[in-house]
Amino acid sequence: MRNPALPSRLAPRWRARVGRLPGAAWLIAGLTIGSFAVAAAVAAPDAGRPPLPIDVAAPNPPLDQAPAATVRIVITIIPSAKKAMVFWGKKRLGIVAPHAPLVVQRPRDSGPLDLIVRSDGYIPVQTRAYTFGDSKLSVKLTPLDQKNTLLGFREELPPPDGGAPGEPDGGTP
Amino acid sequence: MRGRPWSGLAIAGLVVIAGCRESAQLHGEGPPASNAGGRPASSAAAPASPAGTPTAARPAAPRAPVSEAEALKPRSDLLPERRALFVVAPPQPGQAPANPQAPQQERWIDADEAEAAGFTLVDLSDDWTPYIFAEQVGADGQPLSNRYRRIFLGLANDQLDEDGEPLAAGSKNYLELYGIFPSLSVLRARFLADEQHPCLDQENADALDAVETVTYVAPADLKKDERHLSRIRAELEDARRKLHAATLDDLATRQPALAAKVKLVEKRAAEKPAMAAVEKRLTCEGLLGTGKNHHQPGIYDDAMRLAVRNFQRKHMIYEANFLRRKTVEALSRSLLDNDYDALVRALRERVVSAAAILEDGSTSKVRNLVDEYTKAALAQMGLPDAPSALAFFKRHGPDDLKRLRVAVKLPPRPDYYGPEMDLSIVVDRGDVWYDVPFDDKGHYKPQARKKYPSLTLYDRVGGKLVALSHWRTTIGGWRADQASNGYEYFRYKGSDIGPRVIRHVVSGPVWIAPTSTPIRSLIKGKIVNGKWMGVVNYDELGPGFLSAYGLIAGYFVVPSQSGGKDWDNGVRAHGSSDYLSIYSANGYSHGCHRLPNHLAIRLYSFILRHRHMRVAGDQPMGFTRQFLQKNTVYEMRIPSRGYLYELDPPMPVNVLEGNIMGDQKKPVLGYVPEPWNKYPPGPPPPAPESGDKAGGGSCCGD
Repeated sequence: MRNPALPSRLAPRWRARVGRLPGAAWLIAGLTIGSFAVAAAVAAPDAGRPPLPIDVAAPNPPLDQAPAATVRIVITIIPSAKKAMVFWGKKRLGIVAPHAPLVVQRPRDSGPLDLIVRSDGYIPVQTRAYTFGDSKLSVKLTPLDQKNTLLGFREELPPPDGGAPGEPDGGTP
Repeated sequence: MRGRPWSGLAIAGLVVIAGCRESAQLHGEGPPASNAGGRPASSAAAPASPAGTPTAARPAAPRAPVSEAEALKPRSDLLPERRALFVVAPPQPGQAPANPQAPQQERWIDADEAEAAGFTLVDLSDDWTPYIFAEQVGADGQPLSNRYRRIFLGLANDQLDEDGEPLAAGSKNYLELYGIFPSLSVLRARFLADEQHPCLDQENADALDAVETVTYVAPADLKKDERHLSRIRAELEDARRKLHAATLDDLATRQPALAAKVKLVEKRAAEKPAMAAVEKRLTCEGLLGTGKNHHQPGIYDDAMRLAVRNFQRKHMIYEANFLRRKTVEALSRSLLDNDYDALVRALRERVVSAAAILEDGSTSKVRNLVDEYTKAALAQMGLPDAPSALAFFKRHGPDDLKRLRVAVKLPPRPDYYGPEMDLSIVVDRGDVWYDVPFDDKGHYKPQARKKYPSLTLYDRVGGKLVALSHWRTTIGGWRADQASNGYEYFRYKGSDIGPRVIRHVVSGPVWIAPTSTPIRSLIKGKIVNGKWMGVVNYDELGPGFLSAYGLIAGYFVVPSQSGGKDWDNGVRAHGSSDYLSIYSANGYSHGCHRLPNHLAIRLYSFILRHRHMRVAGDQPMGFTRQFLQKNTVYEMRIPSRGYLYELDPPMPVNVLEGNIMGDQKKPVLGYVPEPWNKYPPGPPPPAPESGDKAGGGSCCGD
């Protein structure tokens, strides 16, 4: 339907922007957003419910219970000790702080969220959250130097004359 | 989010309020008068409770027969949920009422009584879906919602995009080619707008009537093509002078050897004004000059190609994106005539659904019920032509179309109809080539087929098989496959042969792409919240009309002899948006049997309504897989496998081997390097094992 395009220029731009922020600003921003996220998670009325399986939300609630107008999407990362930023298109949704999820509320059945999760030292991940119901999104991050463990990693071709032993160059007499 | 975030919710709300549909324990055929995909009369009669109490779960009380006169009594007091429209004196073709408001020709009647008197209720409501997406209720009275229903309705009403997000203002979906017909409200808006701006231009019409097709010349070849034509023109002019012929036609008569060149020059000369007429028409219709691509007059550039593609999608034209015969023919017709055709197509699907029929004339042994019933419905609804349809839409505004059923009396169905039809499917693979389709140098080797694969639905009647429908389909062939080293190779991906069954039918199915799927096909570009980015291509995975499994799939399996799990090699008969793969000479699948989405919907809706089955409903799953493309990890997350119907007993299927052509008499196993690609040293990695003994690799296998 649409022309393919890949967001290969995103990562350097974001890293450059991050690099300009002073450390204290980072700390304050992280703590603030993290505390909001935790507060939102705790304050939610269904905080005591057993967690849903990842991304699996029943499309229809029981009959005796009107569906809530909004759904909660709890975003975590693996490894959980790291910090990551979550983007939804142009908008930065928030930060997954170490051991603190990012909680997003969206109108029920408002369509999926195509997200990018970025963390320093890791390959950015494009993932999707759904709005059928409350859900948990646990995103596994892969270190930059472990690309070769991922499906789709393509080993480089040897150079055209590489690999085979070359003829010894005896020079021109 | 792309504007109007609440319209999706509004639709969802409508869906919830709409309440429940047919019982989950449907046995055999639905009564012909019932409205699959619409509300059953019993639920319509009951007020919808806020929580969506499943009133439809209650078995409908048997209705006493009602006389026709009783049923046709005017009932202007009824709510839209309980009434049906009856057209008293339908106008004949060319006799559109002088007063389009003419309410005296129509009346509201009691829908239940109309059904009891033998009328069929054709649902024209905006929230109509085919049976496969109808809301069902479980045995416990719980609604069994279909996740894709909301999106289907949003697409049909030009309110949502394929992801279920609000459609950009002014955008149109045009999805008939993919099995989603516009709602009556969308068609109404089209009729009313086109009446105001009819794009009528006699000069244009004449220019288009003068040609059958317009030759495609790639923008890069324009100069070369012009030089070629100039040479021919000069040659003909020389010959004409030498022979003292008055005209080129005269020349062609006197020197037949030059007739072909004369014809070519004349054809190309007529194509110039035709191309200008096409541009004018597409611009007027709002399809050209609206996008980002700039169009250069007279050139079949990207802007033109996209405009033609949208025109073909709007008018359900199964042709490649060029100005071929059907496309040019539609371009030469008036907007309202094309709108009328669109209305007939949309109505046809609703009549097929209301009457629970399938026979469409694709076999000569049975009546063409689809055509017969559609014509009968159009005649009784007083919609013989475009002016009468326009008048109908002027009488019935958006409020009416939210909930509108029309009562029509259709001819009786054939005797072989019954609550439990003995249905089965035969797939004939036709001519089959196992040979590699290129030589050592990478040159393509044509593999001509005279007999193409087909899918036939049979009903056993009195010990004899009666073919109800017979459609072209696909079988597997040579396809690109991604090996474990990240490189693409060719691999034969055949279609299994022999007896099978369909136990599971899944609407809004999801295709779990095997790890060997080329990664380039799993990523697409998308504007996300105002930013263009690469995302997992869920169009391909589903659920959706572009999904590899289309809008519905029946799963071919071999039942276990010991009562254990079925053996599933991943072959399905499913809907597909890739209609060119079904109808083109070189079209192949990965092993599955594809049907155009609208036919797949008709097929499975028919099977589900004429055989014993169980509605299992949504099949949640938490499938996740990551893959790498350049510097980004893409993570596919699939929350549901689709909406499951279980045929009980399963329906027999037989796949015939077909005629094996060429030198290779058995499928080639393993990977074959593509001659135009470079690979790491050494042999290709081993291909994933296939259980298929006859057809080669597995197909679409999840």
